[in-house]
Amino acid sequence: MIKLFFKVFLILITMSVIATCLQLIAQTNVAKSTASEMMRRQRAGRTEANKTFQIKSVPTFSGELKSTQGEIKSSVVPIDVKSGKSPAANREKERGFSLGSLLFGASKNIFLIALVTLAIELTRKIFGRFKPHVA
Amino acid sequence: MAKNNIMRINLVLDSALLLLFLFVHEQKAIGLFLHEWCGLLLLIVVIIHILLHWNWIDGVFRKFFRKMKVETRINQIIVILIYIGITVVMFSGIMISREAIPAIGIHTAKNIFWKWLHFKSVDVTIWLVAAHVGMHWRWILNNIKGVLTDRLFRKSGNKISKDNLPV
Repeated sequence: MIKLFFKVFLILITMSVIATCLQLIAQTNVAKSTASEMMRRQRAGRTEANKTFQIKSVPTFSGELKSTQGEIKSSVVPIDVKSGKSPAANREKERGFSLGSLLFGASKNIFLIALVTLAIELTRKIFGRFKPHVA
Repeated sequence: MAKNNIMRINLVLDSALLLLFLFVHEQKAIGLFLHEWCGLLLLIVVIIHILLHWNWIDGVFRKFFRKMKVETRINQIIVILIYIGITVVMFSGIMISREAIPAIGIHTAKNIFWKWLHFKSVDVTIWLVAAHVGMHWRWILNNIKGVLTDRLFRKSGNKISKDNLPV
């Protein structure tokens, strides 16, 4: 029993070491991306501040239009005419269980596994055949 | 008999692991809820799989720095890569979880890096798993044959026994 616990402990420890490494990589990655994103925003803000907008005609639509300097925001949510729901809600609905696509996806992966297995077996046979026989 | 039982358990569990992996892989087909919970179940099955094959792993890794057959070396590398791959898939999956982990009450990261890592590591791991199955194909076939012949012997146990067969 102690041996079993030790084995599980060893597996979990190695997994957590890998996870920690990933976390470190992610932190540097995030730090880099955050810094570059902030710089990009700063640069964009500077150029946006220099711009002056002149709106000649305002298109009519239902919703709220808030205009600040260099920024136009609208709270219009696109709605699918047929279902009367937003695309996000439709996507949520589509996320249910689909046996057809499950079978299609699984068989695609089984085909991939079979193909790799066949390739390995063929390689084994070829190398086995051409291996020099020592008397 | 005990050896046959272990062999049968190994075979059933390995098949279940492969099927579960293929099932969990199809996130769009099964939905996010099943994808995440079955993914966590997969982690447990992977640990059981490692425990059941501990002797093989132990034997191979003890001779890690010694000279060995090319096939065994490739096998070793594939197994290590699968282990890392599965860990990366699981950990990045936990980090971007929207159903299972938040249900426990833990807030997850909304970072594009983890999403990218999850998808990429799954793509690589499926190829590695395919290679793993391919490398152990003969073992799988032999075990299936062993289980089937054992069942046949049991069915006709009164008429023929293994010991009576000519060698």
